[in-house]
Amino acid sequence: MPLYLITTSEGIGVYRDGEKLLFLEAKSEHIPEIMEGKLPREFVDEIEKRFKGEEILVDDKRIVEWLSQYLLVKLASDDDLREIKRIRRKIKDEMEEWNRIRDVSIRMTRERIRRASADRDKLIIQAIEAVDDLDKSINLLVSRLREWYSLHFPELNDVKDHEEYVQLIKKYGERSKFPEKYLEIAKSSMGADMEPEDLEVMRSLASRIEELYRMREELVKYLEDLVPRVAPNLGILVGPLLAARLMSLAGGLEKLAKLPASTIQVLGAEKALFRHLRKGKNPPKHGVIYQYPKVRGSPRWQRGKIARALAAKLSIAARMDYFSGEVVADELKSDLEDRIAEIREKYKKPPKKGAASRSRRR
Amino acid sequence: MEITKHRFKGVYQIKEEDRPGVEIATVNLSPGTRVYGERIIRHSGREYRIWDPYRSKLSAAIHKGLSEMPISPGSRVLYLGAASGTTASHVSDIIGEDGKIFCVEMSSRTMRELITLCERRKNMIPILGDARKPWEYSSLVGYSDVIYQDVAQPDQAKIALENAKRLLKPGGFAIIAIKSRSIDVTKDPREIFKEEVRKIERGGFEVIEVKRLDPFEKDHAIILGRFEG
Repeated sequence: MPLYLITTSEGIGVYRDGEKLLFLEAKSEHIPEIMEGKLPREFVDEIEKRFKGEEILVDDKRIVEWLSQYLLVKLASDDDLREIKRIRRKIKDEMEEWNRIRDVSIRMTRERIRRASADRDKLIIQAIEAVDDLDKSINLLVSRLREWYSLHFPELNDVKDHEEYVQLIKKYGERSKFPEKYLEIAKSSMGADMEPEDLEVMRSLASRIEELYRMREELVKYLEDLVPRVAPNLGILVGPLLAARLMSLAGGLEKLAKLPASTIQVLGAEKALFRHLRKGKNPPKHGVIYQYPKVRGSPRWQRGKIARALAAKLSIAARMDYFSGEVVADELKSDLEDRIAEIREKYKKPPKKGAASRSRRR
Repeated sequence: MEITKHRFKGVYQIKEEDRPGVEIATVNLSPGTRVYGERIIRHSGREYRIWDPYRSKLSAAIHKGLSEMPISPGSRVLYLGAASGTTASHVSDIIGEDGKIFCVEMSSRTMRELITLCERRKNMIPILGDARKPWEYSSLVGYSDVIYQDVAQPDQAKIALENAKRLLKPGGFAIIAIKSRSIDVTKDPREIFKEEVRKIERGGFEVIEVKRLDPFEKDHAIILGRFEG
């Protein structure tokens, strides 16, 4: 039977076969630490003394990561969870002091609120700008790699997807080592033969570029986790990435919440907007919200109307996120869907020439 | 005015002369304070808070004739997605001084309001955390008799199952509010509810009832299930 390490706000216990082998009672000051996925130092020492080298199962990923530097800990499986739950319940029934854990939780929650509201949107802005930087760098390096590797195997440029192209080079290097489906063209390639060390340096570049792709994925995941906490409504309405871009362009959630919808509509199209204001050219219909699939994917003459409707909902979403925190995005989303359906129905055909191209000169 | 006990313990029915229909209410555990601007009725030494079915999905489900109500005086409830505490405050009323409710809410802005509610009501504990990561509050919650979930996330079934696995006692109940539009706006709600029921059954629940909430809430349902363990 395995050993279970059971964490509760009442204390930390080690059990085998339902039997208590060790129980270290938690004082009030220990509870926050336990809730954060750490064990008090003196507890770790005690457990280490008794159970070093034995496999111990825990149900908290954070504890597994942190504790494996001292002990042989593993993450509990679904079957183990049942047993852990049973023991926890017993501990709670016997020892829980409600008022004590309630006081500690309220204090901890206050502390977390203080930390959470401390400019978390600044983190989002940095992360999304890092994504854009990575995109630029990846593009630059991939075009370098394409030119370079084309000296050896120009026909591979038919692989249009950058990431796939990079992976092929990283994996195979020499064109004669390519898998079946490329061998035919590889044999009749116009490219020059290369020494292994020439190819090695290209493969090395390819593998660095691949790491940049992984980095980008990591950042996107981070944003997908962070945006719903800081701006749940924006996140649901347009997805975490576009929500982050809007915050970045506005300079923060607070500023975004205070912008009129008409400005949100053209955020990211400043050049076109000022061209309109200064020279009287046509105003931009959309800024970065062009990335929203239903703006981008609609016919040209509907886009502006859809962008305007979307910007109005975004402005409400940003205000809810900044001022109240209540999640109303589903209502906003379905209102928007209704409006988009209406626009599509009403403006099925492009407007007649002449009527639409009135340019507004001052 | 006529006040009678509802067949669910801790819930009352109120019929007022000048208003149509019967309303439901709970007895205010924190007399003299309102939570969301609800009407308060004082009658023979007690304070009743009217439980608005247009504001609270659980109230809507009761109005629509929910067959069983696992939340009763003394229950230990894990409430996922407590928001600013509209429904949670009525749950707090029902379970009373012997009951316990853990309120998990992810948004720190919403939590600001919820925490003042928790300070006034001795049976509530606030948890600022993500319902997708139940291990982060397992050591505090330990176990529960009932999980009430209203999170409006596309992966809500998974969230319910993860929490049940770790924190719902065998034979305990889950009440899950499903919003079809937060799963897929384009699909027929009936299809979505069916699919969610299947997911929950696969995770070890016996689904007792699926209650649609219209006309109080559009495209919403409450799923009531018993956890086999």
